Amino acid sequence: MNSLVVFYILSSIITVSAIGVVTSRHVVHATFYLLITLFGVAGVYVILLSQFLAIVQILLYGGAIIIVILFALMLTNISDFNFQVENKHWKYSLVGSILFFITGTIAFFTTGGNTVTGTLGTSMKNIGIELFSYWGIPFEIVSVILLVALIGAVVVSNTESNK
Amino acid sequence: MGELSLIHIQIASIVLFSIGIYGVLSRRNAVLILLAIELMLNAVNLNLIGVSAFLDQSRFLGHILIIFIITIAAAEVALALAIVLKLYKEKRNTDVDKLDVLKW
Amino acid sequence: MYEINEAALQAPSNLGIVWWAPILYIISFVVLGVLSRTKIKYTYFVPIIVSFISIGIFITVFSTYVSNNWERYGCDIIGVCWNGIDPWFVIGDIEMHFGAIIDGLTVTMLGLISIVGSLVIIYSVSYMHDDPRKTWYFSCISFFIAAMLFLVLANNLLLIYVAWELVGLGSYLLIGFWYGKQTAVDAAKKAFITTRIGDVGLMVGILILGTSFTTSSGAIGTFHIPDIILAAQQGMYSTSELNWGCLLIFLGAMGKSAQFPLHIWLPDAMEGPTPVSALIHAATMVTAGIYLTARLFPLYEISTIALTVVTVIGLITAIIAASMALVMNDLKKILAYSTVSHLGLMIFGIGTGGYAAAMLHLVAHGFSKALLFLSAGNIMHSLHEETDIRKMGNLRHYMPITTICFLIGALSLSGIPPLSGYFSKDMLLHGVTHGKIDFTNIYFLLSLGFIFLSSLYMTRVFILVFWSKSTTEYKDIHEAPKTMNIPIIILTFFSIVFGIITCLIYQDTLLDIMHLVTWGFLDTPLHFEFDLILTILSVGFALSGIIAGYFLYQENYVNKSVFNSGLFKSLNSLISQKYYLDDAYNWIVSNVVNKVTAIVSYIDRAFVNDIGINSPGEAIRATSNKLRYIQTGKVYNYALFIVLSISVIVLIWIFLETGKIL
Repeated sequence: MNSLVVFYILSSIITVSAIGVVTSRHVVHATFYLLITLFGVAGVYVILLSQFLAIVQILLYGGAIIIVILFALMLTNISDFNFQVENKHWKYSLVGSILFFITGTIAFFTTGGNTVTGTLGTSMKNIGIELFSYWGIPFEIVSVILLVALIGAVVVSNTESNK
Repeated sequence: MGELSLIHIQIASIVLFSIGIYGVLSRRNAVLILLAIELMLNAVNLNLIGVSAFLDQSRFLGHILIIFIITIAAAEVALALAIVLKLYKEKRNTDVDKLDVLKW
Repeated sequence: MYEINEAALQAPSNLGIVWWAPILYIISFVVLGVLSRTKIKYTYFVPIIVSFISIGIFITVFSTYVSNNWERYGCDIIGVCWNGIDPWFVIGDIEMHFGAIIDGLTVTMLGLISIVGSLVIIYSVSYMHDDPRKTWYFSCISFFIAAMLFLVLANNLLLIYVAWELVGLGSYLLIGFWYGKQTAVDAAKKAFITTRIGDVGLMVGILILGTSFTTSSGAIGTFHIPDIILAAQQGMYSTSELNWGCLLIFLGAMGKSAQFPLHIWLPDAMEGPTPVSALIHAATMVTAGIYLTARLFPLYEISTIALTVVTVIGLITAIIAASMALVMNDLKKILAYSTVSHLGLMIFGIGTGGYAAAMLHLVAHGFSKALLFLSAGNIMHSLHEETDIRKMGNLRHYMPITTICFLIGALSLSGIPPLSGYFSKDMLLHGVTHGKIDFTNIYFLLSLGFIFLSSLYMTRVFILVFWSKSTTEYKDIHEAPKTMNIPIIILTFFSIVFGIITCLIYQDTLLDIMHLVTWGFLDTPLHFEFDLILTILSVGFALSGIIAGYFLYQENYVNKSVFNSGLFKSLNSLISQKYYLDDAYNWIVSNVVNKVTAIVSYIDRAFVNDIGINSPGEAIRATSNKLRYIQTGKVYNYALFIVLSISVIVLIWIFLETGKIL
């Protein structure tokens, strides 16, 4: 009962701030709206008893990714990014997203499993054991991907063009 | 009111995802498109954690997938931002309307 | 009968080298083809060496074959020899036997091709000395000989067909060698197209024979010649299948071996270099048809209709070509018609059952005709490519060696003992008469007429070229160089001794080598048997031809004006116009073929091309032209389509899975 109330509050925050992300006319504002959304999602993780994920979400998304975006914006002339903010194609985009929303809703209601209640959390220890034993190789591969992506980012942004 | 159930999480996730789609489709600025993509990733994460918490007996799978997704998202943001910045340096412009070299 | 002889399964291993004969010629072709753009001299040593090796291979195979009691062997593509039936691989239900047959027929042809090919190559060295493209010439010659060697080795009708076409290509290249001359180009095209008409028949015939029965091992059809013959002898073919197969294959042989009415290409093929003519006439090209007919003789033996057709076509060709040889004035054309006529005689001989005799005549004629052509080459070489015999005469004082050699070749072809032509011709006559001379036998009478005609035109050529008074003044005329005379002398030697050796000294042995008897034909003359009456008749007719020719052309005993009046005149003009055959072909082509082709071409253009092929293409092009504007290049358009597509696909999927929406 309580968790449902909290969920409704969180999901309205998420929805409103997400709409803010996609409609805000200023890049930095949009980024802060995204931060709010991420916090909301982290809250949902908490009521689903997944505290570890909530921490990861705040640290990685809120801490790292948002900061990276903000730094990127700061390092460039930010006013250049504020030009193209009006949404020219909003009608088509609205049709597309509403259609997708209807489809997804139909899918979730049709395929059942919608009445399951009651959640059980899992401890950080179990996740850790599972992650480093059964999922060891994917974990390593993902770490390599991350490394490669970071090196690639450095190379792409540092290479002078031939022009 | 009733209990919190899976369908609530799923609806929240689909709402978030649809907003993300709207953002990707309507925005012209590449950085803002990137933000909308982050919204969509979060929607997926929400869905995964919901299914994992309500249906998965071992309770592990959703968490682990989400950890991977967050990692990949971090990589993706880093790379995409690098590309956007490069684009900005080359063309003084990040408007996807003007980036149509794949045109007929 | 072709049987597996377990005891003889240990086939002599050195028969495998037989493949090296064609392979070496192919190597020579490739090497010289590569070198033909360079300015390297003395490239002709490659084919000369190859041809000597090829003669060595022939001798090895020949002696192995003789010392193994003339057992028939197969020899597969990698040189492993056996005498059983063993498919190389099986496609579907059709067994493929790709390999060589080594028997009397093949060994005989191998010898003829190796020896004549070698001599022609040596002769060409001098004859083509001044030609700037002689490397390419020797390359083509190598290719030509290689193709013919493949043809006689092949044990499989499909392989024979491939080699058959390669021979056609070789002849095309060589006849049109001097492509600067329009006549040469036309002649090359004529040879290629005319033989193609026969080749269509050959291909259909091969397919009929190859796919219409079930072998003992359960395969449906085979192209392995011994299997086909076995099947025919066991009655696995229906009568119509066998008749059509044999007739169509004989159509191919008619094209290649220049039988009436497809003989028209051979006289025109004179446009190539003269050594090539010698090669085509003696060894490599026209013998292919004779060889194939002899190879498949057991089938013709069963199919009576086909055998009759073979006999009649052969006889018609022999007589008609001999009459044309009598009135031609071009030295090489006379020899060409003489070849056509003798080829007709061979086909006729096969038709009457004397295919051993026909093969003997093939070899004897091959030597003599190569000799005559090379002599003609000498004459042309000295007279600056002059070929009109009316402008020649009295050459015996200038070219004594050529004169003697030419005389021997002419006498051999006329059938004067003891030259080779006499033996083979008598053996052929023996096949016609079957031992008893019957003057009501129309075949026999016509063959005697042929003998008369053939000695008559040979006498005419010889007298006009070498003996009669010259009508023109010769300038710096001389005997040909040694390298050209030596091959001629060797050929003369073979022309003299071949018949004596095969028919008198080693009568039993050497004719057993050609022992094609294993196929089981009855009443076939396989040995030369001396028959006094027959000899008197044939030699008498030959001598009377010579005497008549002497009085007619040397002494001018009969007034020439006789020929210009009445019946003779019309006959003369009929023959000089080659029986209007070329005109008939022209008429058919221009009035029938061209019109049908125009209609077919219109249908092809209008329906197949425009509607069938171009219109779908145009429709797709027009649609695409409109559709390409979908590709805006703008990312959000693609994203929108992705979203819409995913929605639609998911909805369809849900509907299919659950049968309802919501």
